[in-house]
Amino acid sequence: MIKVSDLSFSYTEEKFIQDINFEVEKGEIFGFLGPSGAGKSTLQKILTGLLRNYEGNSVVDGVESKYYKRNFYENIGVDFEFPSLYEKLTGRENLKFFGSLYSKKLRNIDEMLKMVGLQNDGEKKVCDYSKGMKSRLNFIKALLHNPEILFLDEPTSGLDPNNSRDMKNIILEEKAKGKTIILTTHNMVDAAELCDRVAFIVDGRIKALDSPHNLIMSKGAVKIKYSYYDGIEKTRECLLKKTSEDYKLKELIEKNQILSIHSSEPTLSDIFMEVTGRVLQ
Amino acid sequence: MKTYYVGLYFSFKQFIKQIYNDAMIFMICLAPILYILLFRYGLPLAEEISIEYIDLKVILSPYYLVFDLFLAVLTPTMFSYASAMVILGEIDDGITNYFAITPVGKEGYLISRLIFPLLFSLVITIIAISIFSITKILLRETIIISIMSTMLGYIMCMIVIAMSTNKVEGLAVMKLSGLLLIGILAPFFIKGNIQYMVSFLPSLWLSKYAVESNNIYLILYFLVSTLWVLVLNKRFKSKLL
Repeated sequence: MIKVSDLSFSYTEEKFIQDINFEVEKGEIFGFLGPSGAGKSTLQKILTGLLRNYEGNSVVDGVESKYYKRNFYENIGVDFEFPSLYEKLTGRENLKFFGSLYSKKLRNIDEMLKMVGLQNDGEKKVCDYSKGMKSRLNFIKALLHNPEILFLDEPTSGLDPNNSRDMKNIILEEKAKGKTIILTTHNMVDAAELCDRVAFIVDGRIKALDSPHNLIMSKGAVKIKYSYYDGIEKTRECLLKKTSEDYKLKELIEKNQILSIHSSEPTLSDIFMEVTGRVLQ
Repeated sequence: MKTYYVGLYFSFKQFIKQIYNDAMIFMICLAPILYILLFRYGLPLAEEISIEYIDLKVILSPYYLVFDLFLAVLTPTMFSYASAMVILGEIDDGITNYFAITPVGKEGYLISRLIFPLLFSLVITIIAISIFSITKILLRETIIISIMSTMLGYIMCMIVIAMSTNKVEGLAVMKLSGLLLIGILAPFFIKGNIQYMVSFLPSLWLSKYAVESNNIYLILYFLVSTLWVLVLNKRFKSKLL
């Protein structure tokens, strides 16, 4: 569905993103992960045709991004990080207006509002919405014309845990319908939960690309953490695959002196830090 | 293609709705009507009364063409200010960018926000000059002056958008950009070559053309205007993306 090869782009003389290569299959959720200013949003702007003076190739649904025609956007839905809504219109009027720009049959506005818990706020002006409500309205605006490809930029940013959960469920439902989703985020928990594959982007380059599971398994290792009493309570840890080499652990097990023991997998955040040397949320 | 035009229609409808819902922008659009009422009917009356009390044969009538020229530029200027304020508001709200990823596109957005209002103002200007001008301007000149005024309106809209980042700044720039119109006064009040000190202003050539009907001023007008458009274009475009 999406094929990017040798992609480079610069705002100034210096290259901002370079040597970007990846492919996204239909029905896949693909995540761009990276700190602010890493080039994630620029990459999304190239894929959506907002930036066209790039080098290399960026082909979406068989069309080079710089040559998108008007009707191409019938099948693209974009949820920008910051809501783009008419403050003086109601939520419903906003959806009606933006929907009127498409020729495709629109999804039912009432159902969409209900989906994100705004069923009682459709007649309220957007200027009276909270930040989270605006985010949710902005999100369904991108889904309204039932696009085949969705670009979501920090879709759960600023949402409380309940609404964030609902939003993630909707994203997974869209994937189940066969939609291709590009998720841009710096939230590792969301990425690990939602994405089939992720690309770590730092300083305009892809530092790693794989499924969250593979990244965790290939780069990190499961650890065992145990505690025991030796005058005071002490804690030690060792790699799961090297437990036989930990003689202290062996000794404690033989003497039944272990106070607690548990294993821990590294998180995607740990892997990101290991690969890129940067810390994310 | 049909859908594109439907999208343009809805986009333009939304533009009108925004003007209607914003008292300040709405008043900007009404300004030409106030001007017509005040100057078209007020001026000859003021002239009559003045002559009666001051022992002069004429006071204002040599300058009636100045008032007609302001009548010509007022509608495109005010409409372009209204467009600029709506666009600045939409840039602020991220809506301009959003249009770029819809089938209407940025081009359609600009058509509905700039081209339609300016075409509308062109028609109004032709009608306004034909009906309300105090001097008798020929139809050919009326059409040419209206086109020149519309182009001036486009430049003023570009200035406001290119030089401001929000509506508040836009208001300040809007007031400043009014200085662009002072070229209209030069041929009437500045005698000799010194009037060409403002030759960088398109309005000077508009005024010269209206006074002398010489096509050379028409060419100079379009040259100077094109220069303004070229200078402003990069900054104007960058504001829209």
